[in-house]
Amino acid sequence: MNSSLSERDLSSALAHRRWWFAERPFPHFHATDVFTPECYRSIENSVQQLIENGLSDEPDFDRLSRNMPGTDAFGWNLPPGANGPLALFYDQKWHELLARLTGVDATGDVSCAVHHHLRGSEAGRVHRDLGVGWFPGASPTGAVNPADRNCCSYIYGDVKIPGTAVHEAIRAVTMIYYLANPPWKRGDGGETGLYRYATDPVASPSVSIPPVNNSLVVFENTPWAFHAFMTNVRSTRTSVVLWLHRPVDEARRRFGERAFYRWQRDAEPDAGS
Amino acid sequence: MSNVDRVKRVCLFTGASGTLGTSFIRHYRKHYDIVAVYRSRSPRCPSQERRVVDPLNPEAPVPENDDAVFSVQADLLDDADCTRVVELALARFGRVDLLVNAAAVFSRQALVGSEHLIENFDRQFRLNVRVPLVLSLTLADLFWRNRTAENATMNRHIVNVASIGGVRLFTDTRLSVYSASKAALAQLSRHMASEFLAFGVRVNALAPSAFPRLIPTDQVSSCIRDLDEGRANGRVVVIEKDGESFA
Repeated sequence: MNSSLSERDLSSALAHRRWWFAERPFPHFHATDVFTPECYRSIENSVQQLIENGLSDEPDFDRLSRNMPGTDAFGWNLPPGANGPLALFYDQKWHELLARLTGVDATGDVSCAVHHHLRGSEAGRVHRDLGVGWFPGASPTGAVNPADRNCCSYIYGDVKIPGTAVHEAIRAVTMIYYLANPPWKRGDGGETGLYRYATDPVASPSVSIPPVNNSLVVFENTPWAFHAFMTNVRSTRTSVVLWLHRPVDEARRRFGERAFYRWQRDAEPDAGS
Repeated sequence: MSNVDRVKRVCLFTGASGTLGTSFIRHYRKHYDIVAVYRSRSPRCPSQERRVVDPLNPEAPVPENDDAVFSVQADLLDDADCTRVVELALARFGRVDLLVNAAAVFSRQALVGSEHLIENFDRQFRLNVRVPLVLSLTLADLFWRNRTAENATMNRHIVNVASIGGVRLFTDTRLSVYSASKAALAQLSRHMASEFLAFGVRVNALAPSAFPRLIPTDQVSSCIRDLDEGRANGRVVVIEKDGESFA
């Protein structure tokens, strides 16, 4: 598959144009059979190759590694300028689709990663994604601007190339696309749970989204978009996770300063985050 | 029936996110305004809670969203929720023409040596027998019993979904309590048919084979539709692969 959609109609990559929107427990979109079989296979092969390259317990830019705070999952961040099927997720048209779908006036700043949970990974906490991310450039331009961890730390904003201008933005839209997983059946776990309250037990979501290959869930990040990874008891679970972002000022006006969080410096790894 | 044919009938359907509810909604939501009652998973069909969108043109109308159901989450084991469901249906549509009691639970357990058997007995009889009765009585109290002529004109009707296990004996299934609950529902339906006739509401029951394992679920939903369009009263319709018969 062509890595860029710029010369193609995005509709040719989509298997159909019927996604579900649900109001509860918070507004979200769920779609199955998202991409055409050919398109899906090319993305899956790319991620399968990444998995076969091995896992690292230490943060590693080139492999799936334990690089995320608060989870035992392995992550690999899609670098800017990436070629291949995964580049679809940094395409302007994909960004526009997600922003328009959710009604978010996004900055163009985007972060995308592959997440891989070994069988029996710990369930996550019920949380929302209203965190700060840092990006290259003095200010948002509206064009797609992938997080560049060689340039600055995504979570702390530490500049790694002297003189580089950076700006911060707030995670505005979350997309989780499931792929490269064994066939899923009820009881396998690994779902994304959606919750009404932060205090809901992880195992008792209002809605659970199963990690069925070539399906996705998309939602706007609000202070009430509570979700969590549910433990995967029977098999590994792999997904592509992507965040669009909104301006800090807008998030502050809408939700208040206390609604979003800045990452605390502690012993958490940063090389890949 | 000419007046009736022109209006969309209002159907209150419990267990709407189950296989039967899914089939009925898919095939007949053009014919009914459906109040789709569910416990935990909302029915996977357009409703006030969910709709289909075109990801490339999310603001555009999508024809699949026509005939959206009105979905209501409820714990029918709670009598207050039964009342709430009926009140919501009446508030939303002003009437109920068809009540389908399809919500059910079963526990596959041997009678002897099974843990929690009596606890599960209570749960199965409560949901499979008591809840259909409570909903029917609530509808009768709040709406039907003083509208005899209107009920007859509108051909108002209750369908209780029992099971073939409630009218025939299948040994070694470990479904004794479930089957007994469905036998009770079938017989209760006959009594309800007799008593509800006083205010012009028909009552029938279905006793289908296991669906979708032995018979297509669509066959069962089609039978609900056929019963609703007809005039039968007090019937227990056995649905098998080879066809339908009366118990």
